[in-house]
Amino acid sequence: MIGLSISNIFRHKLRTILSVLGIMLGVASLIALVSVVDGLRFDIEQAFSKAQGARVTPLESSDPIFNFLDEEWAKKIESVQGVKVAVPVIIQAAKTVDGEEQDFFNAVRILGIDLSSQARATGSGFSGELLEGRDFRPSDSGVALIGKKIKDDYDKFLGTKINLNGSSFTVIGVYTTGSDLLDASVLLPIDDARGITDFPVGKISYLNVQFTNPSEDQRVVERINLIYGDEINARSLNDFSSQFGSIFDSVTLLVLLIASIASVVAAVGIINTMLMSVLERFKEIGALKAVGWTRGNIVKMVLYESAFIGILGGLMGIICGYAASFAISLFGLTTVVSSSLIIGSFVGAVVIGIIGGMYPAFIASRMDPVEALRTE
Amino acid sequence: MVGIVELQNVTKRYVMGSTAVDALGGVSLLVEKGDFVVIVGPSGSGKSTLMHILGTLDHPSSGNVLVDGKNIASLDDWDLAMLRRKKIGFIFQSFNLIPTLNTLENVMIPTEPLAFGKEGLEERAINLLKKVDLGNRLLHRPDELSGGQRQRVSIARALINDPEIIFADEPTGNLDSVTGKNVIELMYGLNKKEGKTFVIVTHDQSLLEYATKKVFLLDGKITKIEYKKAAARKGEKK
Repeated sequence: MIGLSISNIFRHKLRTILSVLGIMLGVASLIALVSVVDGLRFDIEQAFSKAQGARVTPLESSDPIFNFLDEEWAKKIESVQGVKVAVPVIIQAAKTVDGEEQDFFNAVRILGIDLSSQARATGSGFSGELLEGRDFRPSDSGVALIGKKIKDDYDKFLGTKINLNGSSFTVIGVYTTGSDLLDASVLLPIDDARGITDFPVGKISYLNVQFTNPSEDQRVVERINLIYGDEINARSLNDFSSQFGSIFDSVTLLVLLIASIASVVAAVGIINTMLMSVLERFKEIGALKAVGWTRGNIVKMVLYESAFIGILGGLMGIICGYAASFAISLFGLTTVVSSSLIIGSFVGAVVIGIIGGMYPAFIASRMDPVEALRTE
Repeated sequence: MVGIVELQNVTKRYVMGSTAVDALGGVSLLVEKGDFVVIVGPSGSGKSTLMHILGTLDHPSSGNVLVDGKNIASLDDWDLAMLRRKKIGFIFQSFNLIPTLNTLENVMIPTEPLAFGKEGLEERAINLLKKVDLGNRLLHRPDELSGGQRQRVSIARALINDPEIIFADEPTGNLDSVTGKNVIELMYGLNKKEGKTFVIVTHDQSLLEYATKKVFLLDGKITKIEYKKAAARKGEKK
């Protein structure tokens, strides 16, 4: 019966191809979109997996740009048992870079780091690795560490100046986190950062906390939250999900929403194709019933047909989606096509095919065999 | 003789809006094993309706339809499909072959839903096609066959289940007279040599000469049934 169903859907090639195309486009765009989101997630997870310690923010903080925390918290957190150092950080969006106006949402971020505290910490004030140049020294002033993306975008190299909000800083190092998103930042000594932004006096954005024993970080985080939990919030830095998880979950949800709209469109296309197909075959279907096919047999035949459209659309969508995802990666974005994405979208395509075939199958199964014998 | 299909005072009324049309008004008919029944009547006489009811494709408004002595009123859709699959074959005026399937596949289509018991079916289909003189057309599609050849494919299809009774609705209606005669001779031969039971509905009076039972239908009623001894039929006169 499968052979029969396959031969049936190729009776009207163009019509079948169009509904296959509907599914294919849905699957391909889903794979391309999700692969970009997963790629971004992968990049940031990579960056965070290297990070150690914790971050202390005000309660209910969204973007650290909007956080204001009293400076005194640094001392309070450092007095918690197990905490080695709490480095005050301020973060602001740059208004101009080399005289170029910044769009707020895509602005270069200026991070001011308290260098005297940072000196007591292990590692750097950034997550990732130093590509060239050197890290800050406690006495540094008027110097900047730039992310790789800034270096590429603004053509900087060691020793050149970078102008931020009208003040110039000498580039002493370039670092990378592996993620373009996190590499679009400039690190300055905290006083320099205060000098060029209107950050409120006595306030900071957050604290980077390091622990005496890194393996104990989760326990110390819990301790901080136990003591000060009703005023501030401490989160482990390598706990990616608490940092970015919810943002990515919303983005994934949005992509799935778009995909489900595409699915409905594709399903309507299949319903239309299959309905036309069974309606014009009423005599043939009637004849099948006359020669002993049950309603169930007819339903099965039609569902095989629509499922096959789904299978075809799914396979072609996977190929095109994979190709699109690869093409996107050529532009420098990380894309991740997971096997669960491929399997999920294929199963989805087949399910849409079957759902799209249900109503036409029902109509076909109710066709009257007498119609098959009626003379034109 | 055993009655294969029996109609007892069957009526069929179609209601269209406020008017009711009696397509059949009290028809009783017995089809026995080995019969070659030819039902003739002008168009509108109810012969198609009669055949649909005989073939269990339609239900009567009143009266009984017995197949192998069993009243089909008690059977549901699935039972009826099974009954047709096992005991009944159909030959249609417009053939109703599936255009994407070849001759052999078309002949086997009634057996397609079978989950098991398919062994030997292909061989059987090939033998049937040889019998209807299409042994050299097994892989042709319907559109590569002439009208007469297509009707012979549908005869082979009607025989694949080895049915007890075969219904043909205007089997020669779409064929020229010579081809039509060949087709009817083929059915006649199957009846004579293999004892297959046929019920043929037609407006073509010339088919009556083959009949063991001639049924004349007018305005939904049987006006006359003539029985002919097999020996008196065409080709058996001598």
